[in-house]
Amino acid sequence: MRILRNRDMFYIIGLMPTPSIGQLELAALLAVAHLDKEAYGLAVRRELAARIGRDYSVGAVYTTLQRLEDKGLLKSRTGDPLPIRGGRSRRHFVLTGAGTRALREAQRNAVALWAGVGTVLRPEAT
Amino acid sequence: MTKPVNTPTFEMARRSRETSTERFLCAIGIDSDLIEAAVGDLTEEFADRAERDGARAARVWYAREVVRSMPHVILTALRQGGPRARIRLVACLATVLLPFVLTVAMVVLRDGPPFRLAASLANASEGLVVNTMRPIQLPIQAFDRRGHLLESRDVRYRWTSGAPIAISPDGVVSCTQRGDAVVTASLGAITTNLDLRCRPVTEVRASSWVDFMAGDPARDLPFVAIGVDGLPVTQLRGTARITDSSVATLAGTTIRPRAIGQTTVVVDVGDRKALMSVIVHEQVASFVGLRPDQRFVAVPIRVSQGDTVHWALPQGVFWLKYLPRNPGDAPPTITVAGAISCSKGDGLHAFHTLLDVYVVYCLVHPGGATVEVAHGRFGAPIVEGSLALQRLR
Repeated sequence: MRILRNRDMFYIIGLMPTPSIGQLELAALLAVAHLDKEAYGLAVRRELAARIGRDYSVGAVYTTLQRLEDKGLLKSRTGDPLPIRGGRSRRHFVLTGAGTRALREAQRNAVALWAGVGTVLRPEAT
Repeated sequence: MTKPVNTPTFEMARRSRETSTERFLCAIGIDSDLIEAAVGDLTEEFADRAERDGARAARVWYAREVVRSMPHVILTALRQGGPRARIRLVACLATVLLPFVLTVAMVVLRDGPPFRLAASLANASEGLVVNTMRPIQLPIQAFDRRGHLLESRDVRYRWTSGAPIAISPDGVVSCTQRGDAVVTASLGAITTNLDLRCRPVTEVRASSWVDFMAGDPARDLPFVAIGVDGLPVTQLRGTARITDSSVATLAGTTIRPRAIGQTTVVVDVGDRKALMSVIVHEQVASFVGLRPDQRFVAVPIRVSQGDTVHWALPQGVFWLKYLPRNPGDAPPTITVAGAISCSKGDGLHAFHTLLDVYVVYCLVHPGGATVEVAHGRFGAPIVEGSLALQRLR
C-alpha cells in the first residue's frame, strides 16, 4: 500500500502545478489513457510499440510508470494472480486527476507550439 | 530475473514461494510489487512468444530483455533501496563485474604473436652508432600487434651489406674499425634492417680544466673523441654528467656556469671516459685581503705593448692560471718573484692545454711574492685575459 505524501495531498486539492514530464513519461501517460482499465506494464509496452514504433524494455517501462506514480499522475492496483504469469499478479495503472490535467496541459502546449508551423513545413518527398 | 518455463504451473492462488532472483531484487531494495509486476510481464510475454515463435526464440528474447532492463533495475535499486540494500547491490555488481573486468584485462594485456621488430634507438634515422670496441648486443626488440614488448630470444642476425663487420647469429657485434654496414634481423617471417655505424673510440681527450668567470656565457665542453685511425670521431653516443649542478649545469655537451665554486664533469663515450674539473671564478681587483672562503678568484688583465703590471700574491698553496679572453690568443709574459716556489722553480713555466690555459702549481712562503704580467713590443696591440688563483690551503 502506498503512503500518501504531502505533495499527493496538494495534487488532490489541486494546489500544486502539474509536474513537468518527459517525452517517455508523456507517451506512457497517453498509453495508459488509451488502454483505460487494461493498462498494465506489458500492455503499455505493446501500446507504445504499436503507436510510436519503439520497443522499450520492461525495466524502462516500469521505471517510467513508477516515476509517474511517484509524481501523483498515475495510481496503481494489483490484480488477481494469473497462471500465464506464473501465478503473479498484473499491476494495473489508471490516470489520476493530476495525470489527466498533465495530459491536457501537454496537449495545449503541443497545439500552441505547433500552431502555424504547418505553413512553414513542406510535405516530405515520398 | 526468473527463468520461465514453457508451460507455467497453473496456480490461481498468490504464489507462496518467490524465486531466488525475485528474492535478490527484493534484497537490493526494489519494491516487491514492482518486482512481481515486471517478472510477471516477462513471464506472460515469454509464454506468448514461445507459443508464437518457439521456445528457443522466446528464451533469446527473455535473456535480451533481462540485459536491457538491468540498468533500470540498478537505478531503481539505488533510488529505492536503503543503505544496506545499496551495499548489497554494490557487492553484487562487484562480484558480477570483477570476472568480466579481469577477463577483458587479460585479453587486452596478453601478449600476442610477434608482429614487428624494431631497434631501441634514440635517433632511428642515424642508425645504430657503436663507439665501443668491446662486443655489444644489438638492441633489436620484438613487439606484438598491440605494441607490447615481447621477450624474444629467438631473433637471428646476419650481415647484409657494407663494411665487413663481424656479427654473430644472436646479434653480438664487434666494432674494431670505422665503417657502415646493414644488418638484417629476423624472427620467423618478420625481418627488419638496421643501419650499423661502427665508430669505435680509443680515447677521449679533454681539458683538465674548464674555467669560467662568474657570468660567462655557456660553452661546449672541451673534449674530442679519437677513433682507431687517430682521427676525431663526430658521431658519438655517450653521456656527460656533472657532480654539482649548483656550480654549473649541463645541457647535452654544453656547460653553463651558475655560481662560484668547483665541480667535476664526467664524459663517457663507448667504454672510454674523461674527467674535467670545472671552476667558476669570482672577479676581484687584486689578490690582497682575500677572505679564507674566497678560494676561486681572478683579476682581469689588459696590457698594451710595452706595459707591465704587478700583483701581490697571498701566502699559501694555489694554482696560478692565465685565462686568455679568447682561446688561442697569444699570452703575455708572466713571471713571479719573491718567496715563491712554483712547479718549475723561479719562474712561471706555463704549459699549453686544449683550452689554452696556462697553469702552474705554486707555494708562496712567508715574506710574500708578486706576479708580473708584461706584454712585449711584438704581437697584438693589447693582450686581454684573466689571472686566476685557485687556493688550496
